[in-house]
Amino acid sequence: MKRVISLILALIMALSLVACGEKAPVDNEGESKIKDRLVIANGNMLSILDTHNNNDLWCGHVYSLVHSALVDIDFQTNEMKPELATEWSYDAPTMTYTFKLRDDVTFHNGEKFTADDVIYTFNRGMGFSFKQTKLKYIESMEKVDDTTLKITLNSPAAEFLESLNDMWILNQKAIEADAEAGPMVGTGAYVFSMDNFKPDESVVVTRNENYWGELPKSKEIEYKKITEASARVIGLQTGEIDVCLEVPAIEASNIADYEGVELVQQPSSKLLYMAMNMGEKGPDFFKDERVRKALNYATNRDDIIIAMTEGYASPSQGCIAPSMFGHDPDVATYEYDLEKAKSLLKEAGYDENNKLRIEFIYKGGVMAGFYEILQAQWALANVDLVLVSDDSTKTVEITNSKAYHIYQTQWNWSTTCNGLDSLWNSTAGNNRTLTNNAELDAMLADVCSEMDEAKRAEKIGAIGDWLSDYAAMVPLYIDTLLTGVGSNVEGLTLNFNQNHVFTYAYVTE
Amino acid sequence: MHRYILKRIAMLLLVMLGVSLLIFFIMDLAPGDQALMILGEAATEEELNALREELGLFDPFFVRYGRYMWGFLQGDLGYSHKYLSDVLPLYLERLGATVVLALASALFAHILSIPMGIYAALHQGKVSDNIVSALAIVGLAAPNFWVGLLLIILFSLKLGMFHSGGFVTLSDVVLPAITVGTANMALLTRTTRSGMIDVLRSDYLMLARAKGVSEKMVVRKHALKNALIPIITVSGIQFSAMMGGAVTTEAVFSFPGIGTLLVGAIKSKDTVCVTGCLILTSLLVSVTLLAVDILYAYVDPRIKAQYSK
Repeated sequence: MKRVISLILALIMALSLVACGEKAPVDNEGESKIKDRLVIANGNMLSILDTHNNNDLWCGHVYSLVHSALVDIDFQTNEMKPELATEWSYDAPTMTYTFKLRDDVTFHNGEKFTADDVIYTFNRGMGFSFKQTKLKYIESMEKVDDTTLKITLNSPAAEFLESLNDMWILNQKAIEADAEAGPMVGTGAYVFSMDNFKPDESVVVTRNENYWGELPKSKEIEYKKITEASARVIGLQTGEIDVCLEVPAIEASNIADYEGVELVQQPSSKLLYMAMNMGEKGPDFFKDERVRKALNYATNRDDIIIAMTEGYASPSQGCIAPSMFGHDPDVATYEYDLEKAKSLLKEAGYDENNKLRIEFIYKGGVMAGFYEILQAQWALANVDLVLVSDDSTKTVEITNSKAYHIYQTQWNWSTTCNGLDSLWNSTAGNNRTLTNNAELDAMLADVCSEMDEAKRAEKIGAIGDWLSDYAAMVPLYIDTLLTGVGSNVEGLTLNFNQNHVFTYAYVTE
Repeated sequence: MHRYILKRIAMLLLVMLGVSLLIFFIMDLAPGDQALMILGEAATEEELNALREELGLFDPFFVRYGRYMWGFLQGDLGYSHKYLSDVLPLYLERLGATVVLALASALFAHILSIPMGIYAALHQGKVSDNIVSALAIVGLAAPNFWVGLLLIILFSLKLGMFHSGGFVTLSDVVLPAITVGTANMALLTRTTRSGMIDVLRSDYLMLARAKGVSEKMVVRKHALKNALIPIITVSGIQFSAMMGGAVTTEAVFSFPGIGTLLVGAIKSKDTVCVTGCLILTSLLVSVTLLAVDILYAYVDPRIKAQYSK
């Protein structure tokens, strides 16, 4: 027995020695030692290589490292910055933008960047529904020369420039040569390679030594998927991870109280909401305004916030995130009022003897607890919320069929007009309330074409009021964005809409 | 003996045929639309139908099954849209990690459980036996994700001995192996203990003792060898179960094994990947169980004798 115990101890010792063998590479040049690799961990990661075929935020993190767009937005100041376009001008009478492009840019495959690439990218993007909302304003494009491009719009578009910030410029030859990885050939600060891409595990991008802009300090950036949030946080604490995204509220104190790591808290622009189906295949009871308003009154947002986010959220103020341009802080909101909810439902014909029955088909996961809370809250107002759990593929099919009663999702606001148009325009793919209202469509078209900022803010406020009164959405709360960052990480820009800038982030020893 | 092995191999082929048909049938019945999952919610009906046509989804079931199996026999298991790779190399890459994890956890479980089981059997009813039994129950009852997180906190966070996740160096397998091995060890300890107790009570061991054979020899030469059959059975089942991946443990440690591969493919309705992985895993499990059966014959002379006639 003693020999067995000795053997076990020896094995543990041997494994321990193996474990202690690895050291992070360090750049010895210069006084401040910078680690070669910055490691970002998240519960999700790059899943689609075609920038046109998704609007996924996590994919966007890697796209923005690999690609450049014509222009960029500084989300801290809301100002437009030049990127591949050095300057631009807008001629209001002809509704034409003229872009002057850089002439010192090459793609990662060695191809020189010209105006042809922009035209190719935008034409290609128009074939993808994810990008159509942003590109629908383009009437025509004209290449004046390799570094000058004219884009004529079909109507004034207030946020056209802003919408181009994630319209990353692709290279036709690269895509024709390799349809799968070709869209990841960009002009950005880092280079993507299929050899360093392990789907569902990690992706490592390496510094583009021929980058047209300031060269980043990190030689490599690794973006890895760690599904389990606790493991992600521990990885940050042990120093294996430098930036931990999507920190759940329950783990916040573990980061805040730990030496060597910091918890960054920001009000996000992520609005969580329930959408009532106002479409043709939706239930008749939602056509009654009293029912919609009653559900808004019956929702106790404060309790939901405490239960779901441990307080790391703020109640919604209308259907537009408060951090967005044009949001009116005085917009009408629905404070929790159970008696009012019951009274409105009674007027609509629903009471304790004839409860309003709403079916909600959802996929499992962390939100299941929230649905049960909502079920209990609405039950007090004589609403029978029937929860049906199903797998993700089935819920996608039900969403596509547009025959659901109610839908739960979230919207990460980036620009106000685009957000409003995406959520409420009768033709928009993200219109989960399936609202088809001519008056609202006209208001949206009007605000999206309003070039004067002051007037645009006024019109956004008016739409916010209209939507609050319409009440087809139960806006719930705005998440507080929690990010764990190693104390030795510098150059990182975390944005409220999670469009973080990792390009110039680096880790010092 | 050869007859026994050939018979088992013939049975394995039949089982595999049935399993592949069953898996293909179940995947066919599974909800969700493969084309929709590939193209996304924004795809038009025309685009979806074109892809369905391209994937041959409109063909009758047996045509699709036959086409798939013909490709399978030639090493073509299709292309995974989720993992952007052919299924076979993808599976083999993950299999490497899974086999390392399975072997390491089996090593951990056996090194601890067999001595503990023997020790408990030899001290039946005493305090030490009760302690071993209690440990075994705790090991069985402790959920994998909890054990995994505790190990990460202790060995990664507090002691800094191991990475908290991933599989870059061989040492990265230590914590996941202990996590998986804990429950396996607990079951094996109980199996060894009960097997040894049965054998130790048998008449022929009493005779051996009466003839003056030392207790050490009784345990090593006679008792343990006869108690091995149930231990091999449990070990074989545990090892073959590991071939299907340890989903929870892999998720906690971000370990790139077959479990997370399968879960990711199922979530994305990557039917081609799921089907290929399940059939290959079934094949591996069957081969593992065949190896266990052959091992029986070598350990148990009765089986050997039965087929030697």
